[in-house]
Amino acid sequence: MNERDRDLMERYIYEVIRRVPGKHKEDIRMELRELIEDMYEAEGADMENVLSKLGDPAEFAKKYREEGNYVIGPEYYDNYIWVLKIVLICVAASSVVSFIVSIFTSSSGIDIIFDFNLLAGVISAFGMVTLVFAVLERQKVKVDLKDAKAWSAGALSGETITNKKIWSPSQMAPVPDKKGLISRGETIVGIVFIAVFGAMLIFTPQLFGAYVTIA
Amino acid sequence: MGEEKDILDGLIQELRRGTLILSVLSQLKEPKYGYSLVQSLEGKGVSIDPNTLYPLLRRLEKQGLLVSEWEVGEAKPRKYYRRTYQGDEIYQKLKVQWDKMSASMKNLFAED
Repeated sequence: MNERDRDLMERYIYEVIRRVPGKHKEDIRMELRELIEDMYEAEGADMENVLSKLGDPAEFAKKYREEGNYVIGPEYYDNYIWVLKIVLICVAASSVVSFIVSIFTSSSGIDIIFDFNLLAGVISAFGMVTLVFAVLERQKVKVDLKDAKAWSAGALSGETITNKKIWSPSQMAPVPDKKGLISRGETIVGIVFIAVFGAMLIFTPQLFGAYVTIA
Repeated sequence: MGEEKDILDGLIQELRRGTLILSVLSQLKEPKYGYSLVQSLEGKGVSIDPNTLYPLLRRLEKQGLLVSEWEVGEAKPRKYYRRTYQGDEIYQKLKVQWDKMSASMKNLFAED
């Protein structure tokens, strides 16, 4: 193999390696060197032909990464979106309310500050929720916020379930009565109001204070 | 017309994806290195891109179906893969599964 072809090969390998996670870099480097040299011999010493057969190094690297290549994978996605919605609504609502309150309590122009606060709040809330879920994803922590697996219809009807993981039709809860249903909308509104009220209590305590003026 | 071809290509890819694991496992009773595996599969009419094969080998190793070993005695270092005991078992079970599936597919096609 001449100097130029070797250089091309090393460039190709580098392009793949820099896109795969650290632990396997060295091993993949050796593996690719072996492969490319073998193909080079088999293909009549035409490096360009070999490398174009292998295709885009970014694609190659992507296939190496395919396992565990998620910030937030499908397992967590539903819960992530659900929590994210609630958190963002809370943050946005708190900001809006504190803006309205500050209109009444302050006389100076504050609209610019409001815009910035809302945006910063939403972005940092988004970031925090994403961060928490990304950690869960990496650590493969099992969370199931929406479907509580621990209880099931079997438990309601008094049956003991030996293995909760095995799903059986008897585990299905009866269709709940409309009145018995806790509506998701109501729950979210409740959470939002608690958050807004809490925020007001902390940031605008003067609204709740009772003033006694001693003359 | 081009779109139809794209759909067909996509479907063929999906079909092939499942069979590749079985093809690879079938060839690794005896240790083989990457490119010799490509060639032995190709010789039997199964073409597989190296950029599909290498990551696949790695994944099967991670799942415990294959083991790899670097052979450094020869002119250049080569990584040999072969089936583990667990790999043998899984391969046998997959083969049975395959036979079942292809028999039922035959039945389905017989209706045409």
